[in-house]
Amino acid sequence: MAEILALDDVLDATVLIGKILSKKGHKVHCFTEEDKAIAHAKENAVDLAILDIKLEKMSGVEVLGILKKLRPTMKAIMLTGYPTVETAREAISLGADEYCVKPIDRDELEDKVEKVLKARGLKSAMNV
Amino acid sequence: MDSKAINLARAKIYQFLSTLYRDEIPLWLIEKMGEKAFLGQIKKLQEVCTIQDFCSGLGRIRGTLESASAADVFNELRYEYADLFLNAGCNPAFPYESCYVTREPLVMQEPVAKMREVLNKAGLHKREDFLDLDDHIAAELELMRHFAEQAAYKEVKQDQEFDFLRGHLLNWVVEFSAVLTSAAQTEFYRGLAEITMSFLFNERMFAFAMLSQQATDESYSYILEHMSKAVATLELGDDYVTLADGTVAPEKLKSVKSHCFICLGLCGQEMKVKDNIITGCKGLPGDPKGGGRLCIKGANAHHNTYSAYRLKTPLIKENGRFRKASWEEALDRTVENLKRIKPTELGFHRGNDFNNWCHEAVMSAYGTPNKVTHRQMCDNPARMANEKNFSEKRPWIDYENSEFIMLFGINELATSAGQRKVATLKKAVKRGCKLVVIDPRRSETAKLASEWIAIKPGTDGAMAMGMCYVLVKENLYNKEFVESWTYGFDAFKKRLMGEEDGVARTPEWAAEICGISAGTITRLAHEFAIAAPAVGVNSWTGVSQAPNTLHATQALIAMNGLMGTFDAPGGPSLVRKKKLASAWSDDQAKPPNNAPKFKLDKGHLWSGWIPAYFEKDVDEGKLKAMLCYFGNPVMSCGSEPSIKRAIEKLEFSCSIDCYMSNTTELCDVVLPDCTYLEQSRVVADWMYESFISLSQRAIKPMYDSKSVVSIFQEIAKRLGYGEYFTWKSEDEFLENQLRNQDITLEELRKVGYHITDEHEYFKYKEWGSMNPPAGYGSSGNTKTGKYNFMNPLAEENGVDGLPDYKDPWEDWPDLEPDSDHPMILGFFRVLEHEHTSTFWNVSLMKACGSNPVWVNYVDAKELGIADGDTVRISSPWASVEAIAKVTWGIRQGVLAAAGGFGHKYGLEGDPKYPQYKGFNTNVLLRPNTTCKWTATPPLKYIKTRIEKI
Repeated sequence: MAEILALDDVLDATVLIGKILSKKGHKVHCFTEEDKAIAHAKENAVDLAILDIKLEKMSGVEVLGILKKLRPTMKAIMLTGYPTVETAREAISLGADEYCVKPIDRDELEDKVEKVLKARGLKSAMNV
Repeated sequence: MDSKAINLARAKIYQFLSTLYRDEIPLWLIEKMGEKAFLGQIKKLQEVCTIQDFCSGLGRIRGTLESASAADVFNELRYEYADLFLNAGCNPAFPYESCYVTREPLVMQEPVAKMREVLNKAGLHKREDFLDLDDHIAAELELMRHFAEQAAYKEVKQDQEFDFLRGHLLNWVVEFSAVLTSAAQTEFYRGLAEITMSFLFNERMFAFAMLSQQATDESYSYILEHMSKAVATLELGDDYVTLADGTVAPEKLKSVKSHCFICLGLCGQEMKVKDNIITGCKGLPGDPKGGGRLCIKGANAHHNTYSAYRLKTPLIKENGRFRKASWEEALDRTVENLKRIKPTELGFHRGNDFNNWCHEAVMSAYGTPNKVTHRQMCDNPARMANEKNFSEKRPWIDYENSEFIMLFGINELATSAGQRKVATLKKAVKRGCKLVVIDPRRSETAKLASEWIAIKPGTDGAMAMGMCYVLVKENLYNKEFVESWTYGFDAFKKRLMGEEDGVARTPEWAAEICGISAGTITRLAHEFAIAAPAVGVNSWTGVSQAPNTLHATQALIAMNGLMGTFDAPGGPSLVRKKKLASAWSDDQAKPPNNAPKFKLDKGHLWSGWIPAYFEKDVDEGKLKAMLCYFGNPVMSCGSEPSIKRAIEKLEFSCSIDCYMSNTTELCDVVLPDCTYLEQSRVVADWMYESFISLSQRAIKPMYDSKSVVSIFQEIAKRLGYGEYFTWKSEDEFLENQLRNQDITLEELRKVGYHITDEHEYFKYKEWGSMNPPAGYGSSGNTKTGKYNFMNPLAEENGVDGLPDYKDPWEDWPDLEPDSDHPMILGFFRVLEHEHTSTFWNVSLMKACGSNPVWVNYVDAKELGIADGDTVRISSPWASVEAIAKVTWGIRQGVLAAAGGFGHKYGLEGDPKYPQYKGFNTNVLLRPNTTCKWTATPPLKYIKTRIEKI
């Protein structure tokens, strides 16, 4: 079981992620606001963050940068409805392990979460 | 669009993308892409396209095509292709799924096996003539084309197709596209990355729609329609280029018994090979050299082979940049230049001896006398001492039976870690044998030792002379051995007693020079004498890489001579290797040796091409070209900036190598070599027992690389000597070489080694000489048949041939430390690396990825340097930046850092992996400087200062 932080400005999306991953036995903390998600990570262990790239106040990539400073070993999956190479570059350089495209596909999310959690420390840092 | 039209459109786009990645983009295709028919469709598409990256990608590609003539675009993209995909540049975009599983530059990983399974299931296999790998993006895209065509023409269900899309391409396209965008210098390849990622994500949505039996999104249909129309104008044809019909049964798991060639230790190695993929390396049980062990380098040897930085095709430099070339063109270009330039003005530099009988013979037939190996940069002082004073360059000690071992400047636990002798050394220490390590740095072996003597660099000769003085003065030496089996003792005794110059080499005299107390020197001499004959002294590069250490090596080995410990149980061994037969069969013509007796550079004793004088030789017009095989002279032969300038000033240079390096980048032609796991050889070797050692090819040569024998056969053919180099296969020359042995190649393959002679002691008594008998070889030869205190070569040349200490700066006064540069810097070898040749291997870089400079705690305190500080190290000739490692494990006044670092390519040079970074101590060397006796550059004697930045 892993401690998972899910952040998306659309409540339904975080609820969906929570539902899918809770069934897999993970503890999922859902947030729609960046500040609250960051505050949670300051106080609590986070094994995996699932972050939407397009948020209201900040970008998901910025949040990833902050969370990685707080929790350097934390794994991260970035979500986006509009995949671009530029956001992918930023996310990878900040240490994102996977990049998922919306709409969320249950199998794909489960696979990626399992892969990322299983491969703790497997993926090398890569600066692109 | 109906379903068939949609799938055909998709297939066209996959074909287009596959074509653009598969190889450099041909001129005809660029011309076609520049025509109105293509650009018009693209423009139309751009006007209505709402997919951000797809649209942007099209714009970038169109912009490139419209910016210059087709020929200019073609040339620019050729250079870019070489940089990005052929590893000519330092920031490649690896086009393989394997590299993105772990984001590490390693190919032939699990995705290849999975891709083969998918291909098999689809009734396909990778084409033999597609020389790249199964999980290359072009192959995966072409497979998607196949699936789409199957769906269009045969209405095949698309589950397998979409599984492949999701399970393969979509798993790595994000990372690959991000890498390609950041690495590409041209808008074309950036655009291609955007289009690829964007298209595949739209394909993902298309897959969802198809699987849930929904209609295709209209805007996507529009893109498919117009993009495929644009692609149709290019007339790409119907043929598949990376894949072919038919299943190929996977090859069964097999074991290949061989010997490691990562370092020249040559430990027995067994590879597990499944379907032509090496899945692991382990020690070869029973092998005399390794005894079933492998060090970390040997265990990860296949990651050299599978490094994603491998050179794949020949490269030719034009306008300062590399482009792909055919073997024909690259070899023709090389040999044209060899023919144009006088052989006496060409230097042949080889960094290893893999099947050296072949390339040596080709270069001799060509007629160059300027052939060098790594010998001068390694331990030439030791070799010139030992190979002339008795019969072997390195008389490895019979540790198993030793009672007292003295190692001067040898870090066995790092440099020979996998070898059986290191295991016996550890056991010997455990059972109570005394090990004394003399080294300014507390190396791994010094940590194991009973006593670590932190000597001043370059002064080992003084300490050894002080010990010899005690042995002779106190009559502790073995008179019977000295009388019967040595030459020059009387002269040596006079030297020790100061009868020549009035300076007796007493322990007190030595202490002043080497910084070790006279009491310690005397005590160690006594202990050595008491424990004899089960004692041995040996030295290596820790001694040899300071100037004027030929006589120092003679001095310390003289202790063995004085006590008569050669070939005694526990003493230094005499080597014999049962010679192999010639690679040429009895009825095969042998090539002529056309090399004149000509020495490019001359020293007091050593003469020939001295690569540390490279720049001087080029400036004086003595050298105009270089052919380099598996070497990195820029980083290893002397002052790095000076050697770099020398190669830049040459009229022509060619390098045969597996990777782009600080040397290959300067060459006009680069030929891709195989790693040792892709080719075979047989050698006579020794580790207490004499044995035949087979290096057996584990896999076929990767990409468009060739074995060194094949490359030199081609060079010979073009030089007009092809008739002498006619082997049709590796087996032919291997069988020739084994024809005088009592084992066949077939039998040897099953075991990997063959012991010809068991371990024996005091062999010289049976031989009647310190030289091995006929039919056996060793690296040296003593003219007197005895151990020589007086070096016969020096005696012949009328120069000093007796053991002694000489100041390191005697021939180069400005090497002497002074108040501006009071510290001595040198490099040391680490367990994880082999000189400069392992820095493309991610596993070894992860184990050791940087080289902090060791600074003594007291020195650091005085200079205000803390552990981890960034420091500047300056010599009178250059300066570098480094990270400080503050430690008690190094003598005051000495700095040291691991060698081999400072690459511009591979993991150190790749901006994707900034965590791997180091510096080359050789940058700080005085240009055009070597030991005048032995031509060894002062790699471990560089005067410097260090300061915090």
